[in-house]
Amino acid sequence: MSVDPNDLPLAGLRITDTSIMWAGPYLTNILATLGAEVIKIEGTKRLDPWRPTGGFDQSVDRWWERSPFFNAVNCNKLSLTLDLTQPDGVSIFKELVAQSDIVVENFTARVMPKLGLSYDILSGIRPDLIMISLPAYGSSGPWRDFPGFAKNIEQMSGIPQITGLPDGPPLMSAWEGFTDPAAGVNGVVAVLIALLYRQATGQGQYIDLSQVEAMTCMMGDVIAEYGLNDTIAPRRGNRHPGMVPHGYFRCRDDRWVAISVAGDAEWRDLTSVMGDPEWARSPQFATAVERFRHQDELEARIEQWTLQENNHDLAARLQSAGVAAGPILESDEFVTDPHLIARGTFQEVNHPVAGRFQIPLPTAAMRLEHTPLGIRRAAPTLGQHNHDVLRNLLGRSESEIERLAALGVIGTSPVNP
Amino acid sequence: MASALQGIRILEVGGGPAAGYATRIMAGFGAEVIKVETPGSGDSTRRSPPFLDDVPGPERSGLALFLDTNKKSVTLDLSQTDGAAIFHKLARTAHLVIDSTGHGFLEDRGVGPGDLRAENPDLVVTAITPFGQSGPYAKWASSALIAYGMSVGGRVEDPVQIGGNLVHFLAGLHTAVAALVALYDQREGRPAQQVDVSIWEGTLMSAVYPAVAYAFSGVKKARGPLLGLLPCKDGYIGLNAYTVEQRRGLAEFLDMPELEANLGWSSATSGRDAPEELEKIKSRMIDRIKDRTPLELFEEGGRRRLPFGLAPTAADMLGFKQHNERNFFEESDHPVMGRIPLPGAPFKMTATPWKSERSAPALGEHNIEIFAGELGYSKAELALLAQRRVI
Repeated sequence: MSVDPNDLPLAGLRITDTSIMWAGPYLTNILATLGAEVIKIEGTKRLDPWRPTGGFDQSVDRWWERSPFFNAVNCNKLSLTLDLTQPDGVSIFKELVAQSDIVVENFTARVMPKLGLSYDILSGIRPDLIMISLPAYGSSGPWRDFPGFAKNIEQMSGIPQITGLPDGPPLMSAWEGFTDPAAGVNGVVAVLIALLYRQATGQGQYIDLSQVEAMTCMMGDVIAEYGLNDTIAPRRGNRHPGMVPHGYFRCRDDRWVAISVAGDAEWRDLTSVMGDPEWARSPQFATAVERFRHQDELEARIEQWTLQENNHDLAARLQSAGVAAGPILESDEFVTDPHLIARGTFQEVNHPVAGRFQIPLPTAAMRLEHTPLGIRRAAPTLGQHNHDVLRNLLGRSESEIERLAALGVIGTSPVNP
Repeated sequence: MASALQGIRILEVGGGPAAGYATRIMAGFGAEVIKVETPGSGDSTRRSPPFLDDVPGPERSGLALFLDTNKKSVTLDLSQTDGAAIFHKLARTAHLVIDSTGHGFLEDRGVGPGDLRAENPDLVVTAITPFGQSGPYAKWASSALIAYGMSVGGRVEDPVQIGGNLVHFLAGLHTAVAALVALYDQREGRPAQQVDVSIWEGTLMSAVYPAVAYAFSGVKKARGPLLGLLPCKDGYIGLNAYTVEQRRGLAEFLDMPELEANLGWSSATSGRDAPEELEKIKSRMIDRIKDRTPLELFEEGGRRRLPFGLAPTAADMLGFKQHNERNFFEESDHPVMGRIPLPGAPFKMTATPWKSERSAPALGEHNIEIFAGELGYSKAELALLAQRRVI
């Protein structure tokens, strides 16, 4: 599954990336996997807060290199440390921008202008620059300086109001983290549109991505419902307006199976897998409307059956019979899932500090016909490419690099971690 | 001002919310998107709620209204030879095909990617399927419920699906990435390629961290509740805190020093070891906010740089001063559904802004324009095609 990196779709593009945590880094993770050279900027006094995440032992040597989350979302990138509060840091950043096609940042709106690194200034250095900011609320408006992370972005986009049981409270998505990667993918779409425009015209531009707006767009049908009928979209639990039965059913050993039944044919297929039980022939389940009216009882009946079954075997049997179903995977079942193995969704990396482990291919949602995408390098250690970038790309001398290290503009370990 | 994707023609065939979301974005940034719909019934989104006055009808779906803004609609029965022949001609004029018809559907009708590229070698065909085109589940049937359930990693005791069309819209975003990067690649002078998009893997990328944590540590995470939303006066509030500074700020704000310690509930993968402790803390937090409204708490949090969140309904979101100041919502003016506010641009592109130039098309509204005006079919031929329900 390896391809010459020069043949990848975004080969030859360079990205300077100051984004942190998940949304922005996932954006550049995808672009890097598509072939761009991504230089991740961190400060030794200001680590990416993703470094302490992922539930690992932080008392060990060089703990900041060991986060599985950080190392997953930063594969295929290079690392340069820069203290952007020092003039040397800012001037190196600008030199790097002069040689970059794209700048990505996700601070709150006030930060980059305060550092003297607004698009107006950076596009003076690199006229065809594409720059994307993805703060929570965008770069203007009364809430522009309010901080945002996955949870409140999910909340402010109205997702909890449509998630949960009809008579229960609004719920968050299962990991309260749905919006980070979704905002990141929105950002990739924006950058690719800007790249196509630049390819055609030579013009760069600034992209202002409010994560809350990008997520609220994904509520378009819910917004439309209010406009159409002055009604608030209901919470449906696990049900569906057009499919019945439709739900997560408990199986043997406290596992679950998801089942979605589209029409009469699938209903007959389901009952035949169930062994054609007497209850299923009752008039109250004879038509889709009857099944819709008697969902409580229908679901209880089905669960009495699924409780006796192994969720994987059952899903496979249902699928063979033509019924849409799938096992709810436990966290240890992804890396051994035969479909994900066959498609190379997880790939092993060998990280110089954290060792060998599997991480997901950032572009796993897509496969290109001629250019298989892969993980070409493990996430970089802090400042791993300081010398490469400063010496080879920016032409700084050895003594200059030593001076920058002495000043703390660059470094390879955190200051007061 | 210019449009970023001006001059790019896209055929959307098979429809559905994933394809529809991908092409919605491309249409808003200037691409010409032609929906190729089934005569009579049209795209499945036309049969999906919400409906005007809750009465179904092909021109009454709010989902289709939202997704199809700026698009054109033609009808073609690809199962008839004339339908396939017209699709061939149309594909010669296109740059991208977004295909959600399912495995082998186009191939079986002689209009698969290979057939189309024989006449238009630069054409990029992106196919969306539930599990992708390879692997043991490739032919499995699916739904948003299944894709989500197979992605969330056994997180909770009683799994609940994420609402709305979020799973498919996210797949639509991945589809847009796939199609646009393949188009960019082709325009860099490399051969056009087909793209395989998997809805499941797209969903999984948004819920993959339990699997990542396990792959790294070999420790399977325990199930258990997270903090979620808390009830307060007349609503709910998310008192979120991620970093050390935010936990300290939250502890000060609520006068609950115990929150300063990393109790884990602020992190997606830790802290599910002590659910009773979480419940106790939660009830103390609720007690401190019960007399304050969500907006009051939210704005005070924002001033303290704490990432609090509301739990708004559509009506609440339409009233957000932040959205209004940024002109986020736009109004669609549809001949049947009327003037309906909808979300506008997913992101603001300053040199090539989002444009909403026309409301969602009626089923087959552009048959004459495209088939007669562009492909040269005569009125008599169109009548024949209509009689035979090809269009």
